[in-house]
Amino acid sequence: MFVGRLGAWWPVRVRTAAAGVALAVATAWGAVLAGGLERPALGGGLYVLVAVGAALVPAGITLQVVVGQVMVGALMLAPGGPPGWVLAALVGGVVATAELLAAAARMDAAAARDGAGTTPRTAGAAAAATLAFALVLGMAALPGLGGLVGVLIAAAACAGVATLVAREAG
Amino acid sequence: MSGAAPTSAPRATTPADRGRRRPDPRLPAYLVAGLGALIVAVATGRDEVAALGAPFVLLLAVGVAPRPPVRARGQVRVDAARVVEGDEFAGEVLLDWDGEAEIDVALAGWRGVTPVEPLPAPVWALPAGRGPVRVEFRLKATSWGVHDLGDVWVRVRRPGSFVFQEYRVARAPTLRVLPTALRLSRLLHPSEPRAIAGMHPTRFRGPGTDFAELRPYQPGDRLRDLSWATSARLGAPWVRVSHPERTGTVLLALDAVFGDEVESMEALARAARTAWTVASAHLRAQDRVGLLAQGRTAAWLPPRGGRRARWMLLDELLSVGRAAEDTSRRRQHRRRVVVPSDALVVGVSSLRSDTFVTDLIHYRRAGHTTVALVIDTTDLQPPAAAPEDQVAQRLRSAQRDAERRALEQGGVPTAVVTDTGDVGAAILALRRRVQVRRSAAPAGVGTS
Repeated sequence: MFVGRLGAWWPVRVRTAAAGVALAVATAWGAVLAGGLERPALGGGLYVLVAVGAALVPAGITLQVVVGQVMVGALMLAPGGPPGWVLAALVGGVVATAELLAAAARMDAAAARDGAGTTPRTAGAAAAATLAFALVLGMAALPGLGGLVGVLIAAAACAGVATLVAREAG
Repeated sequence: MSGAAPTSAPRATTPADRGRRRPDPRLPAYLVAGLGALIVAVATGRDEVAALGAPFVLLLAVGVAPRPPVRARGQVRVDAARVVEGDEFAGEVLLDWDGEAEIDVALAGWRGVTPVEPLPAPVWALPAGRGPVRVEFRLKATSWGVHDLGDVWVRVRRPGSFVFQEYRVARAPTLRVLPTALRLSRLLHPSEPRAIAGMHPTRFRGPGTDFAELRPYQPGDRLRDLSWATSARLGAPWVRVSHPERTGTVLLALDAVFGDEVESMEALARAARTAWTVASAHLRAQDRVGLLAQGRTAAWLPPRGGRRARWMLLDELLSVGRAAEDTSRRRQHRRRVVVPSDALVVGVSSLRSDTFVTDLIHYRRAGHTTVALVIDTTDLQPPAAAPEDQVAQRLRSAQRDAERRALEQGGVPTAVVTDTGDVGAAILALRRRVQVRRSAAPAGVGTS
């Protein structure tokens, strides 16, 4: 009874999905500009294509996130890759795209859902993801055992933050 | 046309009411991305890869953190219990829940109606907030019959949660939709009035045109009733006594247990045609015709018949059918109505109700002339595809035969109304059998 259909593509859903795809294009464009990809056009194009598919079929969000993650990982592991803040911004872009596409998917009911609140929620999730990435990446940069311990501490900190946020939301 | 505003009643919880849980599309995405990156980091021994998984693990933990389930309650009200085809009617869904939640509401599964507002379907996406909430809708009746207005489903989640709950919170009331005047004329056209018209002059006497007897004048008699010729011949005032214009009382005991399928609508139409044929013939014969349903005299048809009488009859048939299907009403104490002593009770039944046969036999034992017209719906059943269906159909047929035999043994003559045979033939057969019984009955036992 809540299954989406063509008639359920309300303007607010179209706008939200379009914003998600636009963000995916911007993220892919950023990754191409950052360099480091062996085939930049292929990587970026694939990510955009998957994002468009996820806008139409919500189950595709998993693929969009994984492809985005692989794209950022390839940049990160490439010799002479972009600086950490660029990678953090790209991770934020991937998360924001997923949040927007998921918000659009929730608007599949045959009634228009108010889109208010989508932007702050997306921005909050992207900011949290960026910070978590930067924190753990910074700790991982520590040499030797310190890096491993740093990653564990950062991961614990992320889990703590997540618990606090969830308790606040609940 | 309307009625008492019906409201959905509380009922037992079913598995559908408990609903199911659905994940947000982000849940599998963040799970795969977070855990995948951590596994790759461990497998490759590169700490920085763990950083790629950390954001997703963080967001996943926030999304799946335990939250209290949303317990929503609902009720549906519509402003009419019965309408005519093409009529629009309004209704509202009342919802309440605990805490803050994001809720989609849908009125789904309606039949025989189309939504007018909201369009394209009665679905509402409510912003995150707290209850209670009232949403309004308008529907239009599109086909006659008894229709379910569906169920109210909700899709709820706590803000930020990655898990939805989807369940049914209320069942909308049913609606009786009567046919339009044009369809009514096609459905219930007067037919076979000669079958039973005038078959039972009553033993009661009163003002009328049909001569009954002469008797000596008594104080209070009208002067216009004086028989001048008899008075002159006998040398004392004598008056004419006539049969009243209303010659008898006929009660149609209705029983229509049908579903909502197209075949059932045809069966219902068949029952309606039969009942109307009996009613119109008796109305023409100046009888008082009442509808006896659910243990009460539901209504007396207008003496002139007409459209209003047909609507009343159909409305009562639809009401009876729905009441028989409604299990909550079966628990109510059934009381048989006391029918007038001169009443002829005519049962119209598909013999699917579990109380109809005993009711008819009760009226017969109370001394009323009682007959039954059995609506045969065998030809309307879908062809049995599986052996189980064939067995089920045979069982239904055997049960109907057994109930018919029970009626006959209880002194209630029966006749079957089929799709091909006209109603008049069945009524004529019943008439003959009643006349035979009357002629065999001892003198002094009179029925109307």
